Amino acid sequence: MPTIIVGIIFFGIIAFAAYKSRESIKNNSCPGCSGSCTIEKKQKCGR
Amino acid sequence: MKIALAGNPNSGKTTLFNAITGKTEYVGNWPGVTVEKKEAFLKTKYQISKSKVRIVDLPGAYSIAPYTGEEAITRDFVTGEKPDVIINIIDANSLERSLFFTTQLLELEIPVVIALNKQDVLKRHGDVIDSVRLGALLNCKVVETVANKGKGVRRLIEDAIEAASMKSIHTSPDLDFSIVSDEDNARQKFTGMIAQECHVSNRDTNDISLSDRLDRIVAHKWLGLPIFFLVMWAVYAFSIEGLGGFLSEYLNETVFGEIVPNAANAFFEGIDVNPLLQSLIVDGAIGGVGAVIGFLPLIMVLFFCLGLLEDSGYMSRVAVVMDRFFKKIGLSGKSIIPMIVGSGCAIPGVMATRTIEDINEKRMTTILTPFVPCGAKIPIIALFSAVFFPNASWVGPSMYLLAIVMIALGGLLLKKIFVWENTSIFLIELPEYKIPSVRHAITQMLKHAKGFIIKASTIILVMNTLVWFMQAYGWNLRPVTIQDASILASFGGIISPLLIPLGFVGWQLAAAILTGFVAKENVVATFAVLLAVASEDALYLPGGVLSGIFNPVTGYAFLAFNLFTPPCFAAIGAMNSELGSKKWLFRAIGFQLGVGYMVAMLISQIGSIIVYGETAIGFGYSIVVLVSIVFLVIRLIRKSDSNVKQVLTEAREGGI
Repeated sequence: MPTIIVGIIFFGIIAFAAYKSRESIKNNSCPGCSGSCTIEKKQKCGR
Repeated sequence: MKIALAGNPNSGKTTLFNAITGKTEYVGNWPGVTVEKKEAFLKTKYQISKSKVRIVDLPGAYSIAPYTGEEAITRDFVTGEKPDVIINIIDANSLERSLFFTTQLLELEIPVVIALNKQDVLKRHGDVIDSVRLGALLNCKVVETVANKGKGVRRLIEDAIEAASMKSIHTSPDLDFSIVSDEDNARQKFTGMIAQECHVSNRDTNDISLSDRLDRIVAHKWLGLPIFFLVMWAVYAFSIEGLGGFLSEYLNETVFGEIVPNAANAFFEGIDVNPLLQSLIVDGAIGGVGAVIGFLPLIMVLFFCLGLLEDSGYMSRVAVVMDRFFKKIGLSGKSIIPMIVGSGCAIPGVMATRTIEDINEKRMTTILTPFVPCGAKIPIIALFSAVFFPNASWVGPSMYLLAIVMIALGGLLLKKIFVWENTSIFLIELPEYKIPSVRHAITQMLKHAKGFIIKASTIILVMNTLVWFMQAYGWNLRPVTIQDASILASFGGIISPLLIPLGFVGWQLAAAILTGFVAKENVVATFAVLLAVASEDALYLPGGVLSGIFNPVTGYAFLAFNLFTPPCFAAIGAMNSELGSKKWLFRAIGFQLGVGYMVAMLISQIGSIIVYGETAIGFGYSIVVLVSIVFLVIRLIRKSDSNVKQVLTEAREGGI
């Protein structure tokens, strides 16, 4: 049971991180990029 | 309501934008930092009514008739999207020149409020501008401001909102065409007359300012370059070997080396989690991310120092110093600005190339900018410095120096292959030196730190989890007892033979290089995951586990390889946008791969002969590769030469 709970939490975090990474790369910006992101791009990134 | 911030470059638009929106957009004390429009909502404390006010920060422009790409963004916005009011930010120290753009804005039938900025500098010089008279002459409100200290900002916003609500349209400036028929000249005459009427200068024209005196040394044609290297040396040495290195060592050794993994292991063992899941989380996720986050203090110190340098006004002098050298390789000082920006992150660096009008120069700068060590490459440099060159302060600065040398050589080579003449003229308005703002440096530092943490907790976390899985499992999706039988080993094994001429042996290196293309920090994280599973030795210790696959020479060659080979995917995406064609993107990637490969190979093979008196592994192959690349380059140069000759012959025959 602890393995299932920890696994769900961990893979949930990974899935969220993967989603964020994909969105950012799609907008030519690294996640957390300090670059000149426009507001439109930021909205797309969900940032 | 929509308020646009417009004005000449380096007048303080983004500083004002950050002050009234609470954002931390990149601000540099040189022209051309903002290349895209940025939008945010007005801070609640400045709001007068409940309706939200959108603030749009526009790239700097000298005229409504665009000369560069980012000036076109400004023109398109103010003429096409018609904001409710324009706040025209004027550097009070360059009143006459700034008014040229102001008079054009006043003709757009949009309310304009002028922010007469940098009053502190003006007063320091003993100069005075009669803002009431200026407002009366231009028929618009003028507010004196010091944006970086927030002075006058509230009144400015109130006046702007009031002007927008009243839709107060100005009468166009009355240009006098009786003496000059040309509109630009008439406008200049008009602005000159206004400046004369409003500006009282108490400066002694014979007095040479401190800035000018400093520039005689700092921007000197012979002293400028060595001073720049000394400054960068000090910054890198302090960041990597000094305070930054010291703090990072503690974080790596104690926090992520003992406290966090021990606590996590104890927790998971306590609740009886499956050992494989425990290993995935502790060795894969925490180990990999921890190895990168461990370098956070180093990154913070580096960007704090760079923030101070930027704000002091020194970086624009670097552009002047480098212009003379860059001219010889077909670039100009304009190319330096993207490269300086690129030392933070290659993406905004590549985007900053749009300030360059000459298409060839822009392409070359886009290709060469990722050569500058960006923040993501710093952990790799710091890791290899710690393991192979402990207590040596030259490794970090030498990467910077090597990057400049390769930018010069790369520029020459590109010029030779894609023959063009540089017609670009570099003009830059040098801001006055000033005592750098610690607040600005801290803001920049925290911004980069935040970005670094977000990156580590997203893309690097995902990649490490994937790397751990691929090194722990075989193709039959069962755990493997030895890493060599894993999925990752088979992927790495495909490209590892290509690395033999570089003296790099092992699929682990190939795997680290592959993950590095996603994000450069992944190189460190991948080594952390792979080697932590294979060995108990700490990754970052001198003579540690990395010494099993590198010696100091091949280690240094590996650093160079990662420095010059193509940047991360996101930066490649930015290159694609700026180059505007797939053909040039593939050329750029091919060139960067070729340079990274050649430099690493030469360092590895020649370095091994010099340092150890023997060749590195793969010497024979390296000779074959070297001859092939030289042959290819000569062929490309000859081809371009014959193309030029053909064009010239056709031109002669055509009587042109």
